[in-house]
Amino acid sequence: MDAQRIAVTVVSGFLGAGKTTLLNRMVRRAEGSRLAVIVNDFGELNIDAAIVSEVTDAVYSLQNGCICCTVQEDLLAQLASLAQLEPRLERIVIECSGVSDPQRIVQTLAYPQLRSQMQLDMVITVVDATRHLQLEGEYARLARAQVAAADLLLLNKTDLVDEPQLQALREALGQRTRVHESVQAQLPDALWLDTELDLEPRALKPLTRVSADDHGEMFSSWLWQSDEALDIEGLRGWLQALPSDVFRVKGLVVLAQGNKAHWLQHVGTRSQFLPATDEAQARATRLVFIARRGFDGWDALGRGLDACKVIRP
Amino acid sequence: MAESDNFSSTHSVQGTYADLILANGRIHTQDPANPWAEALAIRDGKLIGVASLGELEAFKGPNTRVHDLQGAFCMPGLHDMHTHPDLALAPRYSDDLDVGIEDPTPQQLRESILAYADSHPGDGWIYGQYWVRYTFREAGLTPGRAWLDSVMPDRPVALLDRMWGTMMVNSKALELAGIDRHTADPRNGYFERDDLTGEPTGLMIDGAYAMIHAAMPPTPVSVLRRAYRDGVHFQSSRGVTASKYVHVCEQRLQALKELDDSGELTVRIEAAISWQDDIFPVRRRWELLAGERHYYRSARLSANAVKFHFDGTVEPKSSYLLTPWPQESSWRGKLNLTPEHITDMVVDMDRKGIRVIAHCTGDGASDVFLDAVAEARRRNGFSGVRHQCAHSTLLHPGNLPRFKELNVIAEFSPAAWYPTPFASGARSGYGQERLKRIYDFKGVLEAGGTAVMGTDWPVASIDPWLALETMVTRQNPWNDDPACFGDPISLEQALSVITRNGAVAMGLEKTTGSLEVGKSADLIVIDRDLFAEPARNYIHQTQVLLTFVEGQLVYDRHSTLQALGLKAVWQGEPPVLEGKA
Repeated sequence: MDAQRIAVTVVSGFLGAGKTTLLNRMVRRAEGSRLAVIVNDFGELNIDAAIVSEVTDAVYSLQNGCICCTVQEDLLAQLASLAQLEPRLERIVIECSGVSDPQRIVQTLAYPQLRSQMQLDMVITVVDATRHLQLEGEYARLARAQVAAADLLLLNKTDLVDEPQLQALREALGQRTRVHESVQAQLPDALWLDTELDLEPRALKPLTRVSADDHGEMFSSWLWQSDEALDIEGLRGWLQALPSDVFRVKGLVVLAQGNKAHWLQHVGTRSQFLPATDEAQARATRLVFIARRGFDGWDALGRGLDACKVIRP
Repeated sequence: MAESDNFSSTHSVQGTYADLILANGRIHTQDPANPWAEALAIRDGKLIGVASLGELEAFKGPNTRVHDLQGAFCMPGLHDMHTHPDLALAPRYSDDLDVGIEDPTPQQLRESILAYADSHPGDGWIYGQYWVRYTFREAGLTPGRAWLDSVMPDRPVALLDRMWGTMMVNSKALELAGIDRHTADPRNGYFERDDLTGEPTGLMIDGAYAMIHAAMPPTPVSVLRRAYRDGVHFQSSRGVTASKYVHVCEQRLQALKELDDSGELTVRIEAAISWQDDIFPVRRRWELLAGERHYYRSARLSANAVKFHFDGTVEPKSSYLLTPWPQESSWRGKLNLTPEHITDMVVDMDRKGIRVIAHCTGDGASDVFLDAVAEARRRNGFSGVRHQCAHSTLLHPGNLPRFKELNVIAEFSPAAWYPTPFASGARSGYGQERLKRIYDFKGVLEAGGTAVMGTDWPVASIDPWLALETMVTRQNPWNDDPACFGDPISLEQALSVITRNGAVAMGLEKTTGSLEVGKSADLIVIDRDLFAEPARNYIHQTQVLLTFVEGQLVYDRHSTLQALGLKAVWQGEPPVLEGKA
């Protein structure tokens, strides 16, 4: 979303939940992009030695352009040095230890030394459908912390539990959380990779579908646009009340307070605003939504945004 | 009428006879000219005879007390040259808010804060622990000043998070700390800001805690006094007669002085004034360094030292090394101060007669420190002050002779000089090559330098006998794992390290550290002959029976000397200060 900053995805989840499977998928999905994956144990990834093109300082460069390395004690220093790589990385994926609270890593990412170079995109927590509710004591607390820190929960191994168990899990994970159910840690690209933002103004309606809905996609995206500035408190309230079928909102918003444009990125229940630097783009508000296919609350969302408009004199 | 002062000076009247004779001991003196003795005679706190019983007959007068040691092992008192009873104990004794629930919900936290405010009326700080992020998230709430203001708008509140280094503060706390959107972040942390306004949200991360602590009233002297009292009680009952409390402020010095004035400072203490505010603020640092420190001075207490943190630690790889860390191409760690800062400071403190105690874990940090001392020696000549390299976890082999050349004390702390699950995991960060030469007592001693031991409690156990045993074995003291970290030294060497070398490090080598005529009677009697059995799993089980400082009986485990009319300050089992390691 902000070309100046490297997007960071944090992958959390309890031991055995399927993190490594997910990371493996991410590594293989990296074709052509500048992706770095920081894992606990490179060996676990089971990368075919033949596709490792270069190893320096325990950093493995793969033929598809992906870089893998293991988590260092000083993550701050490690991230700062990754940020210096040329050509510049587009995204860094960090795997948290299975018995850790991802909050620690989230806090590291906000250090002033990193803030100008990278930005937390999302925390994905993989939840083991077969074991999550059975954890006890400190383990249960950790799993709870992992779930609470997540912007997106990947509820994995859903094929190994029955419908009542699934229902119990959904209830335990809470109403507010974005949950995607999977079998082998399949994570749709739309949920973790940036889709190109088409921010060209359209002469169409304020609310327009921008994704095709006809080839089995699990998600659809819509564009909302307006020339009016938005009230920040109204917008924040609207973001907090988004239905859980809406996974992401991103784009440019012109805020009435100061009449300035900001990049907005909203994942799960977390919003981030960054001042937009490109004045040329600062003319109007354009927001893209990504929601579960079949979501039918678009009109209500549009009305909610309309209510945030501040009519400029 | 209270007991009168009885200081000794040039023309003081001296008695003819001993006050106390300890007879029939196996006395290890640490005096190379007279290594073993059978009896000691003490008068006015000093040793007037160290010899056989027959030779001491002349000191026995009508009022001389004689105690038969019945063959017990006796030696100079132990020297723990780096420890922190205040940091370990004061938090336990503070009357801070303790929510006392594992996962308090925001509602429970609210009730806890309100109940504390009711029982501690006024407008003072509400400081305590713990809250957890996920209960806020689960409740759909955002932790921070807005939430905390809704609970307690008019008193400053600061609460620590249970797991991960976040302090939540309210607007009043931020106001008192002078923190707003214009305030810069500290180097070792930050405070969370609103994306749009830049205003602090009330979540202080890692090193940003210190910004709040700086605005809070200091830990009360009464709490510090209790912590130090328990610390010296333990140390006396484990045979420590001299120690360094590394990191003090005016509050801590006041607490130590009160103990001293009440006769409960039963260990000679060198207190080192903190150079930085990273552990607690020192409000009167410059007054203390200029001369106010002398106000606290006695035979038991000196503050002629300053302590600073030069580099970091192993776990976050912030120790400053001469070459990059394993698996890193360029990361050498971090220095907290520039070499120029440290050089000017060491030269200046050296000229003032103040000992500089420098936290140096990496070999790069100690290299810079030794360079700074070399510059001080070049400019000032030898001031008589031996500066101290604290921890000395890794030393460059080329620096081993410089400890002697520059008159610098190499202090080693036992946190990881023997294998334990913690140490083996944490210290493995240095890499195998460096692990082999970790805590190089042997290297410093063989190069003629003065090596000492500092327990560094609460980082490692405060029990000096664990440190003594593992200096000799460098192995785990509780099991039979053959693994060994670094090079062991002999028991004779280790005893010198923990007695006479300690006295050198205190600047008291003419006063204590060995049992010689004219020196202070700082000695201990223990329950075993240290040379009788192999060190492993033997030495650390030593029990101390008697401890004397300046001839005063400060510890008497079984109240044995009460029959002679001598009542020790501390009696009975040592207090339990820490769980089993």
